[in-house]
Amino acid sequence: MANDNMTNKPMLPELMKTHGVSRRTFMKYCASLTSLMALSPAMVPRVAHALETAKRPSVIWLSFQECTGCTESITRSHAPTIEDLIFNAVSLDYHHTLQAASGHAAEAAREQAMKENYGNYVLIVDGSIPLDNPGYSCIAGISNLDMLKETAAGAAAIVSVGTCAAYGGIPHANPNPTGAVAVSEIIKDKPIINVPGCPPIPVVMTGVLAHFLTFGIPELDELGRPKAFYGESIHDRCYRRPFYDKGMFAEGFDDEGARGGWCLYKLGCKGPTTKSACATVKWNNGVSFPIEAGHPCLGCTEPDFWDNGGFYKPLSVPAGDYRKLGLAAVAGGAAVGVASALLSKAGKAKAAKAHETVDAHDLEK
Amino acid sequence: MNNPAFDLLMWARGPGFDIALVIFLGGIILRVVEIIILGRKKDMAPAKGSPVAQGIKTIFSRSFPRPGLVKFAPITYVGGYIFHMGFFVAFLFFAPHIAIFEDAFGISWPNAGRVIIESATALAVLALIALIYSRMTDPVRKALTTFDDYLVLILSGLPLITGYVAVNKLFGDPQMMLAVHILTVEALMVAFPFTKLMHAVTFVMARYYNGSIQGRKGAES
Repeated sequence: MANDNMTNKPMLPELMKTHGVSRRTFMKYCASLTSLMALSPAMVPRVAHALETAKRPSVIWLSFQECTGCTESITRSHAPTIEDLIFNAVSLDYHHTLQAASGHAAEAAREQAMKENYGNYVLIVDGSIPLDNPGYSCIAGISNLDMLKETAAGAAAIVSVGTCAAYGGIPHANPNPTGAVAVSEIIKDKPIINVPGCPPIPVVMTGVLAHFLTFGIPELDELGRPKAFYGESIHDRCYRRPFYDKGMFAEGFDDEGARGGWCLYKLGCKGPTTKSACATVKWNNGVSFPIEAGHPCLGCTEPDFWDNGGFYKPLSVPAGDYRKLGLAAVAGGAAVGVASALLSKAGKAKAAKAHETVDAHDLEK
Repeated sequence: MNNPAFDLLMWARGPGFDIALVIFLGGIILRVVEIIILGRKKDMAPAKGSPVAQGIKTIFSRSFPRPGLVKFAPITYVGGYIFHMGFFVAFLFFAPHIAIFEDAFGISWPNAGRVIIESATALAVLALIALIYSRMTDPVRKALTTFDDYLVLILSGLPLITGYVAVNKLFGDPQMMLAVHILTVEALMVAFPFTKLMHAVTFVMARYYNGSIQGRKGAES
């Protein structure tokens, strides 16, 4: 994935031809992408035109404290999907996992891409950045922090892919041993699009890239997520929602409710507080999503999802170790109650003792 | 990047709940123990009737209005019944609430569907509004009402309203509304031992006491 790819790489129509993707399929994709991006159906031809003629920006993909799941997700979309082709249509000039080059050659490719496209390239980041000790995560001897700062300086925009880059994710989870932070904690002067998820849905990642290529930065919510993909909660779009409304819940993973596809709220589903397109777009080409496979939502598109009180604890249940405290409160309350009552009794007895005796003569005074 | 709504929700589910639980349980036990130990002077006179039986009977019989009283104060009685029943249906038969008891004590019971829960909630809130209205307009009740009464009425209504808003996502961020709902419940728990909300525990003792006095005198209660 050296620099010569940037000039030689074919445009999207040629890529479609070589992969046997018909124009009809492409238009269908554009239509679904348009609706996914919450745009008017009248925009479909514009999306198609824009995708066909979009300039291929140079893309630098930096991987920091991550598990490569995000890269796996984006590359494991069933080939040859158009998401895959769009991903290929950008000029991916640097990506540890996907590039053939290694060591100094790889770093040279990054530096060259930065130099040639300064101010115009797109920076994609997956993984969080450790702030405690630069040695916790380095690439070619360069700390993650230095590499991010250096590369972000010339970027047109940054896409934080995955919950680690967007919000710190799993490395940031309590007790956060590396002092991991999100990209947005370090870079303040560039537009940042957060595409959280552990990993994010492939079509959401490519959809965000497509939106960026066609219409620029999409509308973002207060957590920096594109509203088109993260506008609604999983609970509101879940096909199991009617069971929630009827009050039918699975109580275990192998009971009648679980077999009947009932609501997974009591098994700890975080769908009500999680915004993602999982329930509508689904995974593996629309085959299924975690709840459809029988597992409660973990809430992976939300900040600090790892510390949300336990994956299998219902949202309504207290997250702390409250039982010991409750027992202590009962014992403490009883002790204070006894003490207070005895004090009152002693006070009463003392007052009774201190009463002056009054006889008829005193009253006459 | 942090989400203030998530942080608030986790505080409400974590330290917030712990604090509220300690004050709630500790406060109730403290007051009940105090009442029992302080006790009453022993009645040396021989009982003419059965104080224990009358006491126990009164605990239940006072749950029903005396003849004529419903007509005399319809809002207080009808509104009171609707509020209490609605509150307890919503509190005890909504599945996410049962999950809390299941987590704490390992016991659970069948839950109701959304139609029942939301109808009960709406009725309870309407009844509460009627009760507040009657307190504010009836001159006698108005004169008898203290700040404590309004506080208790508002604290009992807020969990119902915020719960309805959170479940139906009427407005606000869903995480934030869930957090606000839990926080209103925690406010109710904190106020519970130190306000008239304590009646939910002490009514048993008060009714037994009243009934047993009558029983000792050989009277019906």
